[in-house]
Amino acid sequence: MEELLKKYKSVIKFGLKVCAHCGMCANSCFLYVNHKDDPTYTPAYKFLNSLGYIYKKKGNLSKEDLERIKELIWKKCVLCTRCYCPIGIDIPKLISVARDILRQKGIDGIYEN
Amino acid sequence: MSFNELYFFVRGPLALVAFFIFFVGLIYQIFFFFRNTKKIDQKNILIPLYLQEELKRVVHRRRGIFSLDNDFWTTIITTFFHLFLIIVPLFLLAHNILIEESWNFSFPSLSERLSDIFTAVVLFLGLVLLFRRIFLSKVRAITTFGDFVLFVLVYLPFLTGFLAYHGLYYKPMIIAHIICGEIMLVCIPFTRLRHMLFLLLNRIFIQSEYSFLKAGKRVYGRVVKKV
Amino acid sequence: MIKVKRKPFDEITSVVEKYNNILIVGCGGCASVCFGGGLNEVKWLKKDLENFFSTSNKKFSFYVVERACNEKFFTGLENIVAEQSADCIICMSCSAGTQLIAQRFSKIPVYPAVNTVAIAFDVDVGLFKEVCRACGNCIIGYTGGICPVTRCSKSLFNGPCGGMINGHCEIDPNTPCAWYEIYERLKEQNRLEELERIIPFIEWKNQIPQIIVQYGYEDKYEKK
Repeated sequence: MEELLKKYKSVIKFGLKVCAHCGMCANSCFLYVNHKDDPTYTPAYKFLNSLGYIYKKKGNLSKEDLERIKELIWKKCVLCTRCYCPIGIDIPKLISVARDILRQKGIDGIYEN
Repeated sequence: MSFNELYFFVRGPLALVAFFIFFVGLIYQIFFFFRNTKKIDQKNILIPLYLQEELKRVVHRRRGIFSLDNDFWTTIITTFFHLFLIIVPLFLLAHNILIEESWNFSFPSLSERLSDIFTAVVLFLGLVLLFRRIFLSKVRAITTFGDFVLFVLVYLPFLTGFLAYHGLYYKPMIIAHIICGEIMLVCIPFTRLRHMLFLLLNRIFIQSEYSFLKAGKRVYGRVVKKV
Repeated sequence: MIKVKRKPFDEITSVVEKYNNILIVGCGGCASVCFGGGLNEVKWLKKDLENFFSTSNKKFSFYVVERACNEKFFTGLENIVAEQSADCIICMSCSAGTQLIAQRFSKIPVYPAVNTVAIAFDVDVGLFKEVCRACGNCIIGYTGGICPVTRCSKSLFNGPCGGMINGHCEIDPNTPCAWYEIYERLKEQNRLEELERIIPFIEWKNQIPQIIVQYGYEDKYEKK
């Protein structure tokens, strides 16, 4: 997992440092538009609280953390790759890297019926 | 230290140091941007004849590059806020007099009344953005303490300059204005304010649905040197 | 993924003329990814239709489902259809999703606003190359990973026709000859003997609508 964090270090650091927390990405996510009362569907919230959290903690995550991040990036995002960021941060790439990291820890999105 | 000594210190050497750090910081960011991205290898695709005819007839404007359909009011507010934020310091008469004194060239200047109006607009829209950050839940969920610090950092030079121009405690206000401006210049390349530069770099060079012009030929990732 | 492309605008307006309460449905799966039927496209279509029909009082609303090809994602859509009491649904998902929506809401006329074009991969942003026709008989392993059914203009299954000019098809000079590419690819891998393999024909088996049962699930659906 450390290799993944190192391999994508430039993309992750760029995304975390340049995000101006403006919130303009929200209206481009159709899931946010369908659930307007829940601000956790904002794409910036999704990547800041999943990949950003993993990066800050350098991979030492508790079980509750993993469950919370799993819900954020598998239930609340379908990776339709249409998020709009005025600054140009590639949000789908960051969500996909977070999914890779969680898969290495043995957690996968189970699509139950 | 008397007022004159302090004034000549902040207006002279300290300003030079601030400008130097600002420009070197920007060049450093540009250098690292081009080092961390690489050109994608172009694949040659020939468009078949029947599609060429169709493409000639139908011309669709590419939409979605500006976020007027996403978030109309926020786009208008931030566009005017940033536009005047950049125009006012560059084309202010008082700044141009100082630059002419030091370096013998100057930009064209706006009239004082116009720059006064523009500064008032910046101050007003800045407050609107602050309220947007406090009262909209989607922005409040991702706000950190640093956002408020940066807001104060950007707001103070304009506020102190506006008040000094209108004569409120002129002498200490001018020193505060110069110092606040220098702190803001120094902080730009090293904090979130570097979006000033990266907005253009990312939207012009990186391949994405929202890239400007016909460009967008770079991707993040370092070039791996073949051994 | 499946790539879709929006129909010409006059075709959509000729459909919408007859109705007064229209719901536009988008899909967050394949249609979103290929910029054909996601949230942005649905909003722009709504705005274009509102401008076109500004004199008549038609009501337009929109909703985007996560995936239109599975009914378990339809709960939000059912609420919206009940709320808006739409008399027409314009669907911007691929044909599979449109047909499932038409089946679920069988009392409301459902029209597609996009043409389902092809199974393709991404070359660049907004540029896609069709590579698969879903014939159900995949032989690309023997042809170096290049599908002759799709990429050859004549869909020749077992070898070239001999009319290649400079690596391009004699029918359209802008189409590369698929068998030429297959030859080059097999030569790179030192497998030119695969070209001598004769593959049995499909004999139009792919023109009959198929029901697909995945391996491991046969006993769930076997006829008792």
